[in-house]
Amino acid sequence: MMRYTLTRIGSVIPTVLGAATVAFLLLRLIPGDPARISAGPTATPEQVEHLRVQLGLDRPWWEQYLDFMKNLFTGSLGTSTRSGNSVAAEIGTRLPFTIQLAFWAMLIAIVVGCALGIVGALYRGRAIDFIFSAVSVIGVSAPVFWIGLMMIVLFSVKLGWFPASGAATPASVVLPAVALSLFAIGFISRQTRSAMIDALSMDAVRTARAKGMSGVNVIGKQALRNALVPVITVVGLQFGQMLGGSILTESVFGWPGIGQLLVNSINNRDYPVVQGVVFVVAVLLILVNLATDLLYSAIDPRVRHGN
Amino acid sequence: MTSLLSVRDLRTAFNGQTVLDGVDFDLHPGKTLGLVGESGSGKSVTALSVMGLLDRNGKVLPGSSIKLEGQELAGLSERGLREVRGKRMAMIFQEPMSSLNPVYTVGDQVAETVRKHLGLSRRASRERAVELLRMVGISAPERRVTEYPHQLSGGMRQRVMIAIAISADPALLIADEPTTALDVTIQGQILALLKELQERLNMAILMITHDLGVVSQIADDVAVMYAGQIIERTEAQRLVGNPAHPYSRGLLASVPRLGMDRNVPLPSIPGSVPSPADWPAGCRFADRCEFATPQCREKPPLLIERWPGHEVACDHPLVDGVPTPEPAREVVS
Ligand SMILES: Nc1ncnc2c1ncn2[C@@H]1O[C@H](COP(=O)(O)OP(=O)(O)OP(=O)(O)O)[C@@H](O)[C@H]1O
Ligand SMILES: [Mg+2]
Repeated sequence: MMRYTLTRIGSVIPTVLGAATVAFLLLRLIPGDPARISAGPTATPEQVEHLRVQLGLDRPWWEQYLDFMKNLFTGSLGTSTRSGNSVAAEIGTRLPFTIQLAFWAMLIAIVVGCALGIVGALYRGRAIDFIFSAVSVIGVSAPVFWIGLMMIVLFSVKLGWFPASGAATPASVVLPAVALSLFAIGFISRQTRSAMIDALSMDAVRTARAKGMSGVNVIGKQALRNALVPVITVVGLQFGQMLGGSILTESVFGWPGIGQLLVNSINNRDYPVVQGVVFVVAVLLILVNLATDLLYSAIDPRVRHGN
Repeated sequence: MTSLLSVRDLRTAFNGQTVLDGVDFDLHPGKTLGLVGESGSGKSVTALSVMGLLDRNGKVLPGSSIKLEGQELAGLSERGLREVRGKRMAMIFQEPMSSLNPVYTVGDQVAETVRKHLGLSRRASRERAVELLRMVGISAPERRVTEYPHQLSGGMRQRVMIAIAISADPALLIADEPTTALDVTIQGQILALLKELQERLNMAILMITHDLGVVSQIADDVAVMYAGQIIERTEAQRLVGNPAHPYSRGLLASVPRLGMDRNVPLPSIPGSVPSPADWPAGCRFADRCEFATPQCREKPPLLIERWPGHEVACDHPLVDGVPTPEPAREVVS
């Protein structure tokens, strides 16, 4: 167990370095002159040159790369060309909002998705199963900006239950979190349903019944734990999906997270910030992946024994 | 002698299709009944019907009776069955690879049964689990309890299954082809273990197998199944020596014996068990029987006691390998 955990954690380091390299290359590989684009259409050649030096773009690419990596180790991601603040600080003020949003959305998605999936599996073929399947299809196929707008119209404009936009009160997170969770609810409930149906037909579940175990034990202990492995895979993947979805959701609900920061910096051609956000999001995904793998091995002993 | 398990006119259907068509047998305390027959004859469905473990599309039909220690199990609620399963009757299966839960230690899986039926504390049931594993011949059981099923061999896993099965000291153990998936040497060990535990715990065994060799080794009585019915029933030694049903004789002929010429292929019964949808109106074995007469195909034979303690469902039962001429319906009462 310990050894598996340590090797798995160790394998994160090269992945993070790779992510940093990709974030670095991304902006240098797209066509056009970053200094020129960044400075804006009205800038004088002197201003463009000044910016080029400031961004370090006048130096050979490998020097830039070494610099970038060296700065990473000291926790620096460069300076925003727009605000002059450090990129780390810009991200630092936004990241907690995105994490808060993703956390609530994921929590809602896991609880509701698993519940729908388990009930669907237990009552498969009955009316309730069809209703839940329909809910999951709607969740997966309805675009978040449309659902988001509908929710704003209904719950804030008409009913006035929740604020329509911003993050001023604790209740502000409700609408964006629910909107963001819908897609994952659909996905997780489908996966849970099929994994649970498989698990319930396991020989081991029949053994548990032959032992005289109660229904709660058979469903909650014997079957569910086996069904969790594929469900966790989907949850991990959904997290990535969710970070993408949060860009749209944050725009719809005016949520001051990292997604909005990214959209704004792209609009402002603020290269260091875009680069920093890409890197931070990549690191988040890597950490979620790590957590998923460690969870697997906690749940399924066959994983940690390597077969 | 009063019987421990008494099955009468057991009829089971899947999605409305009858697959057990009036199964009758008795099992006496501490004895072993071998239930034999080819694949698809209904042995497992019989066992699962008794345990109340049929899939959700399977039903024991009204009119069937399954009595264990005098208690009627047919039609009993799931809650009622739970009090009997694992406690008075237990079951082990053909696939030791998948019968244990892969995500819990074997100790957990044994201890959980002990806790449920004997009401012991967590610690005491843990200790009891170690004892049980020792009883079924697992070495270093203190260490084994912390291992997971995938760390054990097939034979070991079947031993763990047996430990679970005997944990509440049941009166009946149903073993559905418990050795089929194992190596020959391991097969012998498991059978010997079952025999030993039976004597120690005075437990009756319903041994399901398609191997008559296993039956002659371990069973007191045998019931031969064909197409959802019992077609012959008698003492194991008598069946092996004097099969009266042509089907039983065919099964016996296909068992390899010591001293046989290995170059001569074993005779096998031509054809296969008809599936429930294709059961013929008369004798269900007639199409594969070398002695079948036109009358055999018209009228289903009844299971009749033709010799003391020897019942057979055939209108021309074999005597010394020769079919009796028709009609031979004298009944010994
Ligand atoms: N879950 C099920 N659903 C539908 N039909 C079933 C089911 N289980 C068994 N049957 C049918 O019942 C009949 C008897 O099957 P059963 O499994 O009892 O045979 P068996 O004697 O145990 O054979 P084997 O030696 O292969 O284990 C077969 O025709 C089979 O197709
Ligand atoms: Mg079977």
